Amino acid sequence: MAAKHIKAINKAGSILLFAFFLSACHQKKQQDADPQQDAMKLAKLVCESRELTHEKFTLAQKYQQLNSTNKIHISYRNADSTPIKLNKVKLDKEKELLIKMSQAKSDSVNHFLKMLWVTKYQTNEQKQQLDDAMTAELKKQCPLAAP
Amino acid sequence: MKKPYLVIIISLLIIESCKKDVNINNNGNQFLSSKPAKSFDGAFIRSYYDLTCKIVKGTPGFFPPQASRAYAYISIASYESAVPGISSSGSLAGQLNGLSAGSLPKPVDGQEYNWAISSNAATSEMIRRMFEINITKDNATAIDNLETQNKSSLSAGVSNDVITRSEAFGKSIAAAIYNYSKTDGGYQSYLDPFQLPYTLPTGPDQWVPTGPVLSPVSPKWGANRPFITADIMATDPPPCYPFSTDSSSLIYKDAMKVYVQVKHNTTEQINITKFWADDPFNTCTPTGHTLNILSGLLDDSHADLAKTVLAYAHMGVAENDAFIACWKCKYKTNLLRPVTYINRYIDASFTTVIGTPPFPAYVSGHSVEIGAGDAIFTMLFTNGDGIYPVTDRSQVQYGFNVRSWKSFDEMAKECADSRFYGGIHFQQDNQFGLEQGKKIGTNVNTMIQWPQNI
Repeated sequence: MAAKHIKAINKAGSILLFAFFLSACHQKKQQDADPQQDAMKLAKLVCESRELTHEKFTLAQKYQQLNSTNKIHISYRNADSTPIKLNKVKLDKEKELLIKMSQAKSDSVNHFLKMLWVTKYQTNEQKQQLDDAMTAELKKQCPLAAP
Repeated sequence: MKKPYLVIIISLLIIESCKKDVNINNNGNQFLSSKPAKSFDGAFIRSYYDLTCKIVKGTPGFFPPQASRAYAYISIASYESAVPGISSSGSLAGQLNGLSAGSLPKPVDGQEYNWAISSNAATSEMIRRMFEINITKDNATAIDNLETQNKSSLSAGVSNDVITRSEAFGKSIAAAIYNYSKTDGGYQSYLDPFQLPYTLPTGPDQWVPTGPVLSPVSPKWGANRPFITADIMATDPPPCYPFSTDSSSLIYKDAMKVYVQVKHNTTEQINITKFWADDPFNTCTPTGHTLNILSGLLDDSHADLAKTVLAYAHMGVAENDAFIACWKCKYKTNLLRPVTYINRYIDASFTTVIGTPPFPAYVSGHSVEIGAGDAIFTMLFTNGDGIYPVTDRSQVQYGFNVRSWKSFDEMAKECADSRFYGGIHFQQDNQFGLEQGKKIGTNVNTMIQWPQNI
């Protein structure tokens, strides 16, 4: 009976030791957080997304200009082949493609962001360091200013 | 045994860690052995809001009012499926318009539930139902995958009968909330967001189309049922400035302010305009943006399940009512947009910084919704003064920089001002819109008995 208890206690001790080991690893992982390195990787993705957002704003302007005549709705409904209708169809295709590309890019940025901000950078101070490093990296890496 | 005290300490530790929290509600009901909702991490619920943002963007017919409604019912289903694990008196049944007391399924006393599994089931099911007809195949699969993935991680160490019972409870809550949603006036409104036929009122002060969309969005939305039982008209803003083309009139001066502002916008003001524009095409709308900010704050504080579902329900209810109240005002007034006024009476070549949305000006939708959000954020995260270091990282995915504010008021004001910098709203639209939104948010905080000290 005593041997059984000792065995159980040994087992519990091992579990505790393992838990301490895991906790130490977790702390080590957080210490390993390198804002500079992560910000560089993140900025690369964000710059690509930024370019697509710029394109979306440009395309939105084209729609505004195209529709400033307020004729587009009519020609589109009549399904004729006026230049307005043809331009609208062209813009619609461009828009569809742009939205797909933009969503894919947003997904990859978000995935990486979540990993950093939720898992790797736990404290507000660490997050602030990453924010600052990313802002600096965006300035350095992005050919375009914020949209 | 050489070190008996060590054995005792270790044994006590093991016994303590193996103990199950017993969830005893305020009125003494017990769900024996059910862990309280606060003992679960809320991150899996937040992942649904990330997905919902993506689904709003990719589903036809989801304009700002439709999106606010979908988010609201999703948040209510999440909340109701976990609330027995928070407080026995926290249900919204009996507190919201049209949702009578006792109308929602209840867990069986004495049975064990896992509130994380039940809210996983309710949330996924409610998202499916809110987008059901127009959802893309990819997005439908994404909901299934997220539900399965969450279920798998939440089920570790949970017995099969608890899993089955908790899931069934969650699904039954979603079904009941969905039935409730059918009678609010916005049911499947994404199939007909323009609510045609609709005859545009005419007159010199009346809204006319300003861009590609010739029909205004959801002109009858203001007749929908709000959640708050108080008279929504009590939050109504004052009448807008009387129409005039006289250069000394209030509306002319307001239009001139827009004109001058757009001509002299700084780079920072243009950045602010675009940051809050929620991008021109695939946006998850102002409500989605505000909920993304909420998700970020909950992530930062590692909020548990109780806090997470409570926060989303607060915000969801407020956003839904904000859009109903705002739309009621928009179509009662039907005020033209600044670009129309300026083109007619000040400068025919004037253009806005971003596209003008296809609905009347007074009051601004962004301002009302962020005003409501401001009141909710202030209640959730501060002692009432609204002072809180807010950082919005949700727009980084589109290439924007991170933006930070010292308080929720500061954030809300910037959002409202962005519509003025963009040339798409008069200042009166933003100022009175923000005030209206704050009143709505305050009503949501005070007129519903929410669980306290979560």
